[in-house]
Amino acid sequence: MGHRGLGEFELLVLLAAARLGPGEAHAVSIAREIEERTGRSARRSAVYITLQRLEQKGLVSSRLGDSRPERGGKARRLVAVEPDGTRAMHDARSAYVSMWDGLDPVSWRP
Amino acid sequence: MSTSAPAWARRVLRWVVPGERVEDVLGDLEEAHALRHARLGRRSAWVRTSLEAADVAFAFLRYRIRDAAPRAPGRLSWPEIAGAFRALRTQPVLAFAATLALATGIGIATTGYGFVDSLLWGRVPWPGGDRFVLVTAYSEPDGESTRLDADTYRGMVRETGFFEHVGLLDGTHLNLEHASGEIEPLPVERVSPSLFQAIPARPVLGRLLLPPDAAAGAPPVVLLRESLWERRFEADPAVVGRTVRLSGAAYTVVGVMPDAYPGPSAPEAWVPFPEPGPATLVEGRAFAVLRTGVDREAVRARVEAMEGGAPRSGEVRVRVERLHEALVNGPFRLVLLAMLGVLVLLLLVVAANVANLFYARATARSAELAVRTALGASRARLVTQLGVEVTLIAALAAAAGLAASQATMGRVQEFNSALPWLDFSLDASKIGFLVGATLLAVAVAGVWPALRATRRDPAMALRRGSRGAAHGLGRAGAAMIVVQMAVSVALIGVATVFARGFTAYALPQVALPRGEIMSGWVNGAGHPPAQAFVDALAGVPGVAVASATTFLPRQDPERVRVEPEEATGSREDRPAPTTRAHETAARVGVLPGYFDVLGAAPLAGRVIAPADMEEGAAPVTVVNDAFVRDVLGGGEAVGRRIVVDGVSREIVGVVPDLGIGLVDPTRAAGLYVPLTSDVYQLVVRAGDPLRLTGQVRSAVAAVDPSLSLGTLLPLERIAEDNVKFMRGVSVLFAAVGAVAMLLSLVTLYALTSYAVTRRTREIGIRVALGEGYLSVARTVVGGTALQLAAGAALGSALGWLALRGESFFTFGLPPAGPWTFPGVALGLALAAAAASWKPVRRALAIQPMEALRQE
Repeated sequence: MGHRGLGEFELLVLLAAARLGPGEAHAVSIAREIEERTGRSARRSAVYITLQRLEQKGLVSSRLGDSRPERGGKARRLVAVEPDGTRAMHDARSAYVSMWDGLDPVSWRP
Repeated sequence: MSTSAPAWARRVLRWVVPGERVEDVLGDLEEAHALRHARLGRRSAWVRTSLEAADVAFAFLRYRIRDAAPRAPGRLSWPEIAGAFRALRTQPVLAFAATLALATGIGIATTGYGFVDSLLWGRVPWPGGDRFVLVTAYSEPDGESTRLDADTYRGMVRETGFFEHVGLLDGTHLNLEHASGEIEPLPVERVSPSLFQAIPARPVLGRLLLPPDAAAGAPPVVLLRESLWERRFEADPAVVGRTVRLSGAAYTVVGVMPDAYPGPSAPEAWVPFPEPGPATLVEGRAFAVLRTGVDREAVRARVEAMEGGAPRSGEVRVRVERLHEALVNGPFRLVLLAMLGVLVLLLLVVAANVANLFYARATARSAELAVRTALGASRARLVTQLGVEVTLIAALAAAAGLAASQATMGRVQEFNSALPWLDFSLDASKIGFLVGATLLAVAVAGVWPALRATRRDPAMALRRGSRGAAHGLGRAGAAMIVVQMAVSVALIGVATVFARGFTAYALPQVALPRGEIMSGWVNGAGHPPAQAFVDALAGVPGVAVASATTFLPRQDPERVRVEPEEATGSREDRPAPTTRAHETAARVGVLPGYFDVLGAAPLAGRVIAPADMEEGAAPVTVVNDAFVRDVLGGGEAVGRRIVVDGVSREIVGVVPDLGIGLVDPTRAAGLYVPLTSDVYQLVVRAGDPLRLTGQVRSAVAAVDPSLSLGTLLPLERIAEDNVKFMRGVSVLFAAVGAVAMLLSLVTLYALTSYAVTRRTREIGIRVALGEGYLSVARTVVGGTALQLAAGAALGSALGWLALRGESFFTFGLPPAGPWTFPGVALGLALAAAAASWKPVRRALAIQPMEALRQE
């Protein structure tokens, strides 16, 4: 359906969620992971919306964790990558790789 | 507490973030805020968290608008909304004018609806208010209200299976006698103490009225309203237990009631309603709180079955009405609905005005639209794009209109002392009306012009667009001017007729010396005849004239059946009786001198004379001119005979309409007969009548000390509320008409101005070719003038049709008169000419070279 093509930020969020794993991935940790690894800023609002969209596409699922006092008694929503999400990451990677394949990594020419 | 995130942020996020994600987002916000708080201090943390919350809220808002709505062709999308914003920003004047106009229309219509809704269908703001009913009696054949039988009332009190509480209430006036000698008439409610159980309250001071206060022979007590206590007793905490004098009797103050007490009326004081004696008629209305689940119809049948203790003529039926129904009955209901109709019509005019502006704009953009069509944009898409702009404006206007409407209602609530239980607060039905009104405005002002504007052949539009669209707004524009003028003329005309009707009602044709007339009720059964008291009053120094009557102007007199007597031996030239088989008319009993008190002279014949009062005198009557017109069908009245309630009477005189009816001008017909009733009012006319209350009372007491004279009131206080209401309504109609006219003129100005701008090039060429100014002016205005004339004719016809026949618009309005609509049309046309004067002058000043260079 429509979710064949992943946006770049969507891919980053998906990858971050996969790296962190089901028990640790949530909006704040995902944003931090992206910032630390890519060096670019990831606004939390963007992460929320992207997660919302990915969940709607069935690529990730989420559940509420335990509530914590430092969060005003509120729980975190923990994110897990679904099989469809894994497939989408695969597809994206093979698309990138096949496009990169044969390009000179310095001059970016074949 | 201080470490939690800003409250506004939490509130906004809770509103805008989808439910399943709220907890996560709020938790993250709290966590981040706590960290910042520790690191940066309170103020910085507050600012940064606020910024972040705004960012998140905005992101979710965008997401919800853009992603959540399914994307169907022609549906709203984010770029379209953004585009509409941009388009409006380029024309701030248009956007502002349109918003203001729609806000006015929506605000007025919503306010009107708010009132109608509260008055007709509102909630009563105390627990069980929906089960609070008034039980009143009326006689069967003629529907006239009558009084409830005391035994029936006692039956109701015993009927605890149906009623939680039962009691009596009656509004009256009592004269508060101040120590300084000043007399102040106070609105007072006589109530059964059970009212304070039905509508619970806690007194500010002292106690409420209790059942023993209403028992026969109990010492008179009074409960003061807080405002009266502050105004007249300096908020003295020791007022409880003090004695005050009300209409000549001493009352002990037992308590002070809060101003906010929401009872069925808002008097200045409450006194107990004495329990009625056996086999009498109750002088007030019965109220009751029904038990939950009890059917009103069953209550009505049960109460009707009890009726019959006191002997009386005719069959008595019973009404069981909620407060709203009892208050807003018959004509009032129609007035309110008619008012709402006019306000919605006003909204339509406003929307049509905005439609004109947007249509003009859409035609100006026809070239752009054509290009987009050629590039493959569907018509639905173009209509959406044009419609979105109006929707944005309408949304803004709705918000502004709602705010203004709420502010108005709030003011009214503050000053609403007559009906304290009315609740004007915003509820689902009012919001529903607002949404409906806004959608109507969008449909008329946005979608319709958009549909029109996109109905062109693109190739044609492109050609014309490139040439500068030489023909103004074309046929559609002309049609719109016609429609607009028609609606304005119809609306203002109808509003004028309404206003005139109500003004005529509120002010009787004869100016009465209201401030000089004072009256008081008397139950004269078993006392000397009324004339004896009147003679005594005439002797009081300062009293100019004295008399007696059963009903003063604007009190609702009894109605009797009137039949024309068979015209035996009538003169040939007298018109045949045109009356229907029978009519009813108001009947007022008077003593000689009554018309002198009112300052009215007969139009024909004479008034009631002392000889008519004598035993065995021939029965006579004096009728008012409404009677001559409506019942007799015009012509010479003096000398004719009519049968009034079975008695044949000769008409000896005709007097002007002295405001005999209460609400309904169709019931203005009335007749005066010599006073025979035992219950009547003594009336006096004097320079400053309230100063004479003491002397008047002692003059009456000198004739018969046992006669009790009711509260002495100036005429202006009688039926004051009704007159005020009618005056308010007529002012409202005039205001609506004025707003409609102003809006129409602004649009006419804009349209003419626009037409001149669009035709600058053409005018320039024509001036260059040597055409005269007059001819140019005719070109610019001539068409518009024709359209205005057509619109005026159409509007007059529409208005005339609306006022004709037996529609609910016309319950007893005076006839429109042949000049009403042409007059309105002429006025509007003159104003329109004035409005187009400036653009026409601009057109005449066009220099040919400049005009040509403009392209």
